[in-house]
Amino acid sequence: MKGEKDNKFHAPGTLVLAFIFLGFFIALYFINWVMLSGTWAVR
Amino acid sequence: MSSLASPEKVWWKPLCRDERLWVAVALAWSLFMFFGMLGWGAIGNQHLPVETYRVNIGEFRQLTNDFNQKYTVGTQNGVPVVRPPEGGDVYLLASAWKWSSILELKEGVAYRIHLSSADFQHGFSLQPTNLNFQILPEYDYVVTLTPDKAGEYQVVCNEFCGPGHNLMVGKIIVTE
Amino acid sequence: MNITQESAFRTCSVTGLRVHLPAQKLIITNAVAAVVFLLIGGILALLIALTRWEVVQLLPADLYYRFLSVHGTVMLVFWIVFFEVAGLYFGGTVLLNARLLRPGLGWFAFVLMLAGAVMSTLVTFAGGADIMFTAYVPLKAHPLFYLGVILFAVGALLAVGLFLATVIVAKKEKRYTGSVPLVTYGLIAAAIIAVFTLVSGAIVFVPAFLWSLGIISSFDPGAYRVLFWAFGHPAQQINLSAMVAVWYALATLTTGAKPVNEKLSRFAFLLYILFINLGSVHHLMVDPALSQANRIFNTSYFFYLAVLGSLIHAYSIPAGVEVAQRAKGYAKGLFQWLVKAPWKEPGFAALAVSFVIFGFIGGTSGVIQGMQVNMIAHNTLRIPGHFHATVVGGTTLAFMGLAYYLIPLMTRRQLVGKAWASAQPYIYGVGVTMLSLGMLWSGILGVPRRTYDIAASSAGVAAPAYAGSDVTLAIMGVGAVIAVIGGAIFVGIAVLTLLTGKKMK
Repeated sequence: MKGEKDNKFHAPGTLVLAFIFLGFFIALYFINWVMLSGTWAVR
Repeated sequence: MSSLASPEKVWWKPLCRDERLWVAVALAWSLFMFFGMLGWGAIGNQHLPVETYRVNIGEFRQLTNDFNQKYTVGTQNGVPVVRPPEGGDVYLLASAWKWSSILELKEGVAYRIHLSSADFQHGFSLQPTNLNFQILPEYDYVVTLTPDKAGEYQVVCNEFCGPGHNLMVGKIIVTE
Repeated sequence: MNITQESAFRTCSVTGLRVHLPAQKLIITNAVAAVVFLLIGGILALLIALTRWEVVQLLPADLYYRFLSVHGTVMLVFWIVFFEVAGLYFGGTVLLNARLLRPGLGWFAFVLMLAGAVMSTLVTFAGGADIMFTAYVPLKAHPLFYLGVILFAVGALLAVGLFLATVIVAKKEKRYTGSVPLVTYGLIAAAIIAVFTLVSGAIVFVPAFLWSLGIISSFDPGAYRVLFWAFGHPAQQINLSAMVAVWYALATLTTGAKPVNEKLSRFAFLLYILFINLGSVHHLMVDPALSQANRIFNTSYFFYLAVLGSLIHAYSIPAGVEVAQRAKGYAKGLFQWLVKAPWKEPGFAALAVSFVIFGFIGGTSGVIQGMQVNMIAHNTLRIPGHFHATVVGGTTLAFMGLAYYLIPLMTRRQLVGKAWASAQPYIYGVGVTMLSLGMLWSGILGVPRRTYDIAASSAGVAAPAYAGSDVTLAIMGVGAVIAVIGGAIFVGIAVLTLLTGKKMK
C-alpha cells in the first residue's frame, strides 16, 4: 500500500475527535477541583 | 495485516506527524495531572489527612467517654451534644449503628477530629457539604476540619456495616 | 504426542480461520457459563436498582443487601472472567492457527471455576455472606463463601497459565510467523495483569478463609483493604486490557481497520502492564495509615503513564477505522468516514457505543475521582456511577459485540435476530448511560452507595442533604430498566442462536 513504509496515514477527523475528548476531560477535571475547593478546609 | 493476524515482519516504525502531536499532548496532560495532585497538596485547602495512630478499641472508647463527659452540654434524642474547646481534639467513635456524640463546633475554627470504630468498618460522610473518610477499627485517624458556615450537618455512615447501616446518621452543629 | 494432529482442526468456511476443536468446546462452554451468570446478575440488577430508586423501593432491606452482594460478585468476577477465559482460548488458538495445549487442564480449570462460583453464589443467596463484593473484615461470611472465591481464582489462574503456555508453544511449533496479532498481544497483556490479580486474590482470601474458620484470630482491616484492592481493582484492569483488545478486533471485523501503528498500540499495552495496577491505591485515598507520597505516587499510575496508554488507544482505534473508511472512498471532509460507518452492524454499534461510554463517562470519572477529589466522592454513588460506565457500558458491551461474531464462528449457527442485535447496543448504551449519569450525579449530591435508603439521612436537620436526588435517582432507575431490557435482548439472541440457530456448513 502506498506510503505504508514510512507509516504515513491520513486521519484528520480522528485528531479532531481526540482533541474534543481531551477538552471534555480537561473541563471535567477543573470542575471537580472547583467542587472540592468548595467544601470545608481539611488537613 | 489486521489486528487479528500477525503483522508484517518489521512493524517497528516511526510515528507519523499526527501521532507525535497526540502523544506529546497526551503526555503533557498526564504530567500536568500528576503535578496537579502534588500542587493541590501544597497549595490547596483540602489535603488528604494522613495522621494515624494504632489504638485498641477499649482505649479509644475510653478516650471518647472521657471527652464526652468533659464537654457534654446537653442531649438530643438520647445522644450527648458535645461542645469541644475551640481548636481542640475531638473523639468520635463509630459503632453499629450509631455515632458517639453530636458535635457542636465553631465556624472558622480548625478541630482535630479523631475517628475510629468499635466494631466494623464505617464511613464518615459529612452532608450536605460532602466530605468522606474511611473509619477502621484499631486505627485512630485524625482529620483536621474547619467548618466554613454555621448550620446543621448530617454525619452519614457510608461504608456498609450490616443491616442497620442506613439508619446510622449523626449530626454536627456549627455555630457562628 | 500428536503435535500436528490435523484431524483436530476444522477450517471455517466464512473466515478461513482454523479452529482447534477441543478449544472450540472449551470456548463455548466458558461463554455459556458467562452468559448464565450475566443473566443472574442482570435480574438482580433490576431488583436492586428499583430499590435504590427511593420512590419505588422494591425490596426489603435484608434482601437488598443480599442481592447487592450477589450482583457484585457475579457480575464483576464470574460473568466477566468466564467470558475472558473464552476470549483467551480464542485469541491463543484460533487467531494463532494453533492448538490448545492441554484441553484436559482447561476442563479442570473450568470445573474449579464453576464449582467455586456456584458455591459462593449459593452461600450468599442463602444469607451466608451479606457483606458485599468487598467483604471488608471484620464483617464475616460463611467459610464456604471464601472457599468458593478461592476455588474460582485457582481455576482462573490455571486457565490463564494454559493460555500463556499455548501461546508460547504455538510460537515454538511455528503455527504463526513473526509477532502475535495485536488482539492476541492485548489479551496477553490482560493475562499478565490477571496473574497479578489472581495471586493477590489468593493472598487476601486464603487468610480470610482461615480467619472465618477461627484458625487465625484476627485480620487487620487496614491490611485487608490493601490486599483486597490489589485484587479488586486489577481485576478491572484485566477487563480494560481485554476490552481494548476486543475494540481492535471489532474495528477490524466491521470496517476492515488495521492498526495504524503496531508499535504505538503495543507500547500502550505495555504501559498498562507496567503501571496500571498501581492505581488500585485510589481505594485507600481517604483511609488511615498511608503516607501522602504513597497515595499520590500510586494513584497517579506512575505519572499517569497508564492513562497515556488509554489516550493512545483512544486515538489509534478510531484512526484505524478512519483510514479504512477513507480507503473505501468515504473521504469527503473531516467526518464522512464516520457518517458512512456501518452503524447497523452489531459489532460496530457495540464498538462505538462502548468506546464513547467508556471514554467520556467511565475513564474520565475514574481518573479524576482517584485524586484528592476522592474526598468528595469516596463511597458515594459516584463510585458505582464510574464503574458501571467502565465495566458495563465499556467492557460488557464490547464483549457482547464480540459475542455476535464469536457465537456463529464457534457454534456454526447463524445468528438469530440480526435486527435485534443491531439495535441492542444502542438500547443497552442509552440505559447504561442514564444509569451511570444518574449515579454520578446522585453521588455529587452526596448520596451514599450501598445503602438501603437515604430517608433517615435526608430528614431531620436544618439543611436536608441530597437536594434534587429524587430526580437523579429516577434517572438511575429508568436507566437500569432500559439497560436490563438491552441485556435481556443479548441473552435472548445468544441462547436462541445456540439452541435454534440455522446450521452453517
